[in-house]
Amino acid sequence: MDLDLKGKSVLITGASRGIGHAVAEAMAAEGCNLHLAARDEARLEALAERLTKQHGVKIEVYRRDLSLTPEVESLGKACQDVDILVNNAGDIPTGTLQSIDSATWRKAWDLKVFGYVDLTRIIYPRMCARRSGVIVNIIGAAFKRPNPHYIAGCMANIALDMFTQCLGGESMRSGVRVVAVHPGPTTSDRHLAHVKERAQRELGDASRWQELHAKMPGGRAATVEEVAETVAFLASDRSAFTSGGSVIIDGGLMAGTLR
Amino acid sequence: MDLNLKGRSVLITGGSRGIGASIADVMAQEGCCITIAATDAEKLKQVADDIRAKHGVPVATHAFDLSKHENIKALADVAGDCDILVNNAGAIPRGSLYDVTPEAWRHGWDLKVFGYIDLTRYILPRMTARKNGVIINIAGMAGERPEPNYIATSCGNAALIMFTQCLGGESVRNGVRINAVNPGPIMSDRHRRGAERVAEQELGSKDRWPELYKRFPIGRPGRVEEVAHVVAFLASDLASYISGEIIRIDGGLKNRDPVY
Repeated sequence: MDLDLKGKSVLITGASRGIGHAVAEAMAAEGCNLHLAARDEARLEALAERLTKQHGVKIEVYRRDLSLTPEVESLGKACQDVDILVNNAGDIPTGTLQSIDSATWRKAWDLKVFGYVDLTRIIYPRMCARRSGVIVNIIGAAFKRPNPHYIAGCMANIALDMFTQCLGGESMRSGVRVVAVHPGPTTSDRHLAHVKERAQRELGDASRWQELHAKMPGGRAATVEEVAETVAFLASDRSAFTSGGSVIIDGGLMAGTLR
Repeated sequence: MDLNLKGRSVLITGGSRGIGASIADVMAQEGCCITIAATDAEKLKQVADDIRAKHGVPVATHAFDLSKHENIKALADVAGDCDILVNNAGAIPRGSLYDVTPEAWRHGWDLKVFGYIDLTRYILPRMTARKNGVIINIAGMAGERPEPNYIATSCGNAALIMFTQCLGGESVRNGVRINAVNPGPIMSDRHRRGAERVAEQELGSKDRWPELYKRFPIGRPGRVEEVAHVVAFLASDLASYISGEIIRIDGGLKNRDPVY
């Protein structure tokens, strides 16, 4: 299937590693020109150099800490005319109400909740004015099931899913689509840290983390590529009639049970 | 039905008006000792005097701006040993993504989202230690239904519903129940001002606001005491097997046929 994404411009936040990194690879392979943002400029530069060589696309990199509003705003202004925005930067800690202090909680939401909201506030009206554009929010399957050990993540995710629905239910009147993907456990560094923490808590040994994956219906975590391919599809005109909706990529985890 | 709430202590945030003041009144009628907190000391005093005169129960007041974290801590220090906590203070601005600035969005959430989280952070451990207590969060129907012109509220309430579910599914292990109610349009002072504004714009006169509710299944907005009664029931031992649950109070609005 030709996704017909060639020549589109895409802004991806949190592109230096994990899912964001894989989305950059997938979109470059489709012939998109990329704007990549993250804190780690060296990793972005390395990725940009490789993808430019492999696919001959144009890539700009932006060193930004998107938990800071002024940096969100300067990124938004620099990239305000992109065709596709992929909100992805986020790193909400696992933990309970008592273990995550107020300052840590707010800092995490500054990046993943307010970062998505504030970048969208700048780019979305430009898309509406052009009557063209797609926003893909990478959120997380935790929105679907309350988990006291990931309380700040569950709450942020459901708020962002609601954000996607609020905008996506209206955006097609202006020719814009707003959608979400909800990855469950995915083989990123970030997830590995989470699952090791959980193995320590539940099995008393962090090195037994693979046993937790074995309990899941899919028997493993998603690969970052599996998430990135869904993002590319949703961003393309092959999904031109999808807005305000989301795709859960979790190998059946949220619908099923652990064994 | 006797709710058997006599002598229980209740802390209600945003207790100086609207739904919060009504909850204070209904809980006082059930014989609870009342503590209300809000920004406006004068209004708090009026509500407290009124409740004491009507129901003869002790009423304490604390004038705090709960959008500031240090005030949340201070309130928990002076009033944190309550049997029942009702998180209610909140005024997230109405408007679209364009209308609500980054600052206004955050400020609205400082009070209603982070205020609920942080007051619970300080009070829940005390209830857990006593193996006894009830927390009720006043969220709102927008948390279940995307409302683009109320976007900061929809997102904030969705998060608070999830907060209630995350905690309420576990707190019962330690004898604490945590639930939420989701009011739809309720005729509080705050809502009334909004309705009058819309009536002025759409119907040409602010006095015609009741006509705005003709399309509602019940034909009118809710009354504050219709929320307060549910809160009192959930706070009582009659609801002793309910935790992590959300009760919608909207006169059928969410489930009405969208075509009519």
